[in-house]
This record gives sequence, structure tokens and C-alpha cells, in this order.
Amino acid sequence: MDLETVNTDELIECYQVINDYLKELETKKKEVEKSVENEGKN
Amino acid sequence: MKERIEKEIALSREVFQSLPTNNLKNQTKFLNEIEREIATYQEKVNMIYTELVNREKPYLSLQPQSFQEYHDALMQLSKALSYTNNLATAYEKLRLDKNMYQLSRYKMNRLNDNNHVLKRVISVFNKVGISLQASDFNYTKFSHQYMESFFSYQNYINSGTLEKVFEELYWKDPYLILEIELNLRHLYLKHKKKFEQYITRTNAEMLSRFQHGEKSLIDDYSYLCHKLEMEKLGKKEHLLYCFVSGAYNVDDYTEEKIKNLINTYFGNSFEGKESELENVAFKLLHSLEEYENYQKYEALIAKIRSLYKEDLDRNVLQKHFKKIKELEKKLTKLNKKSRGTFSKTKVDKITPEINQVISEIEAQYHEVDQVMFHYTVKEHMKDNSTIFKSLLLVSQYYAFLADMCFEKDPQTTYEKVDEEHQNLYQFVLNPNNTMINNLTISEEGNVASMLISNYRLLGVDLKEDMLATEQLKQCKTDLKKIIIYYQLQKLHISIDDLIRVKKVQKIMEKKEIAR
Repeated sequence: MDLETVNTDELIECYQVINDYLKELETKKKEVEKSVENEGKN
Repeated sequence: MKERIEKEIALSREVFQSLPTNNLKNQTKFLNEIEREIATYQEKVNMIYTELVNREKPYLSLQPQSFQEYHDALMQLSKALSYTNNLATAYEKLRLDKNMYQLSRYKMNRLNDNNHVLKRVISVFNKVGISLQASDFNYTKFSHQYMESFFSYQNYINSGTLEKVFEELYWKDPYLILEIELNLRHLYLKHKKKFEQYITRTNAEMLSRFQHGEKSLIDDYSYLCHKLEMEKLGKKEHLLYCFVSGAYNVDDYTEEKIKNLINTYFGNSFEGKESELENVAFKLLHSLEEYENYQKYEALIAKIRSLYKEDLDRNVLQKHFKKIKELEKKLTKLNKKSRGTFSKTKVDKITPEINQVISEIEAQYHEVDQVMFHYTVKEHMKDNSTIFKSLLLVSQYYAFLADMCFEKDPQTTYEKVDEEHQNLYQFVLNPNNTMINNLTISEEGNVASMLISNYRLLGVDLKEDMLATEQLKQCKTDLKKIIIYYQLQKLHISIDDLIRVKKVQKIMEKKEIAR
């Protein structure tokens, strides 16, 4: 990623977008992990 | 870049939505994929974070400015001023008044604190060339005995030895500290000339450093105060630090918000005359600060006014001092008789008589304390004396101010009294004051309406409700914002830059919390 040419406002927005996506991925991951755990119990 | 990232994410989202998770095998595969995806984007987000922090480093690494050299110089000048003025005597100038006041409240203090006060008083005597010894303390045999121990252990006050001596003597003489206090007062009166000579010497030495004497001290003080105010406002790093540290909130400084504030206080009076508006805002802020302080000290001013108007027998102090001398003579005689009958087991027959004389001396000194400030007010104040002078007078008399503090709040502490004392003195010397420098003690006008009329002439629509305590605080805050807004423009500090720093700071805070 060439960050130097990107202005700070846009960089802050990129940070937010990726951060939100990471949260989304973490939630999805937890859901699947829970389902694996439940199946293991059954 | 943002658009590209959003597209990439949208695509990845679709891929993950299409991945099956219907059985354990698929779920494990899904988890592997998602972990890889998290690692990829975590790396990206970390890179952006590092870049953002690096970009804002010049702001984030700003350090608070202490302006210590100004504060030190102002402190020195204010000390010199309190030393060289002609409103107080050596007793106040050498802070004996403060120490003796604290000693007179010995019952409320811990013994250790009383001993420290005692040590300070003795060191003041030393300073002027009077080396006190136990033999100087002969109000009673017990106070003499205690002072003998005190001089032996004065360098080990915290060791507990003096506590033991005190405890042993206390049951024989519960007024021990009072007797030492009265003895010290006697010693001050005995050596008064030496104290005055010391002050004259020190003043001459102090003023010789200034070409124009006391006047120069006041001018230097005013000059430094102004310079400090301008420096705080004009130093870019300081102003930026105030925003970075959160002391100022950048959201309050948008053009729209500042325009609204200008409209509230100044209407259209200064349209197109920004520099004039800034000057009036500054002047108004100083006036409001002065008015706020004036209100704070209104009871004090009223008290001085009433003391000034109240009649006082000019010879009252001499009468009390004459009576004290007579009583002290009587005490000396009684002590001589008593020494002959000193015994550990028998109660001295003369003791009640000694205690009676001591209590009479105490009552006389109490009267002196009550009358002293009144006498000083009568001596120094005239009909045309300003409120500035009356408050300067109070700031030189610790006991009067301390009495008012304890009257207002009996639970207050000496530290708080010191703080009040300092605040009062700083207010009195503030070069931005105008009202207290012109209003006289004999006037009882409505200061609020005078202020309103004055600003109406300048085109400012100041209303009476704006001067009520809470609104006054808000007015001051608003005016400061207007002044700072103009300063930001002068120093070419962009609000957008400050907003960016704030956003990055928020990102950093969240990351810190998430750790």
C-alpha cells in the first residue's frame, strides 16, 4: 500500500472502513467457532 | 484508496457469504480462510495506523509550556512589593503575623505543627540578629522548661522526644503553648526596633536594584503580567498543546459557532472591524474577571468600609500595651515567688494567681489583635482611598484574612487560607484591573450597572443577567473562545488540521482501550 500519497482525511476513513470490516470478520469467526463447539458437544 | 478498499472488502464479503459452513469440515475450512483474511486486513490497518500517528507526531509530541521563568519573576516581584510597601510593619512583612496566628490556634493544631511554627518564629528572630535562648522564655517555669528542651531538640522535632516532654509538662500546665506565644509577642515588642531596622536595611538593598524604586516594581510586575498573557496566547506550541491536551475543544471553534458567539455579545457593532472586536473582547474579558473577583471580595470590602467609618480611640493600642507591661511586671514578681516553692509533688499555691495574670495578658493581646487592623485601616485609609488600596492592605494582614476564612468555614485549613491569600494578592496586583483602581472606599455604587453602562458606550450590549455567577462564567468562556479563534487565524493554525489531530487521537485512544 502506498500511503504517502493519500491525504490524511482519506487515510482516516480507510482506517475506519477496515476496522469495521475487521470487527465484522471477528463476529463471523466467533459465530462459526460457536457452531463448531456446539457440534462437538452433540 | 478508500474506494479501492471498499471494493476489495465487498468482494471478500461475497466470497465469505458463498463459503459453506454446513459441516465440520467446511466450518474448519471457513475458519482458516477467515483467519487469513483477518491477518491480511490487520496488517493493512496497522500500516495505516502507523502512518497516521507518524503524520500527527509533531502535534502529539507537543509538551506543556510552564512559563516558569515568568512565574518565578512575578513571584519575586510580588514578594518584593509586599516587603517594600508602607502599609505593613516588620511583624507582617517577616510573616510573624502568620506564624503567631497559627500558634494562637495551638489547640486546633498538632503539637508537631506547633513546634514547626515555633521553629519558624525563632528563625525569623535569628534572621534579624536576635538569637533566642531558653532564658528568654520566662513567662512561667513550665514554659521555660519546655523551651529548654525545645532548643536542645529543635533539630529533631519529628523524633518524638519533644512530645514526651510536652506530655509530662502539659498536666502541670495546660496553657504551656499559650504562654510561649505570649512570651514571643513580648520578645517581639522588646526587639521591635531591631526588626524595623532590618526591614529598612533590606528594603534599601532591594530597591537599589531598581532605578525607580517601588514604582519600578509595580511597573515591572504589570509589564511581566501582560507579557505572560501575550506569550501564552501568541506561542503557537502552547496554543496547539491546549487543543491536543483537550483543554480546548476544536469543535467549539468552527466559524459558525464563533459567529454566533460574536452575534450574542457584540451584534453587528463591529462588522468588518475584526481587530477592534478582538480588542473589545479582550477588554470585556478582563472586566468580567475583575467583576467576578470584586464580587468574591465584596464582603471583605464592606468590612473595611465599615471599619473605616467606625470611630476608634487613637490611643487604644498604647493603652493595651501599657496594661500588658503592667501585667508582665506582676507576672515576673509572681514567678520569682513561685520558683522558690517549685516541687514535683505539691501544687504551687501561686499557680492560680499566675494563671489569672496570664489569662489577663491573653485578653489584652486578643484586644490588640482585634483593634490592630482597625487601627491600620484608620491610619492608612482616606475618603479618596481606592478599593485597590484597601484590598492591598488586607493582603498584607494575614490574621484579618485568615479570620474571615475561618469565619466563613471553620473547617478550612491553613493551606486553603494560603491559597486565598495568594489569590487575593494576585487579584490586587493584576494590571488589567480598572474598576478597583478607580472606585473609592467611600463609594457604595452599583458596580454591575457601572460596568454595563461603560460597555454600552463601546457598543457592547451587556445585560445584567449576564453578570450573575453562572452566566458570568459562561460569558468568560465564550469571550476566551472568540479571542482564541482570532489567535488561531493570526498564527495560521487550521481548524481542519486540529480536527484531524483529534480524530487520530480518538483512534489511538480506542486502540489503547482494545489492548
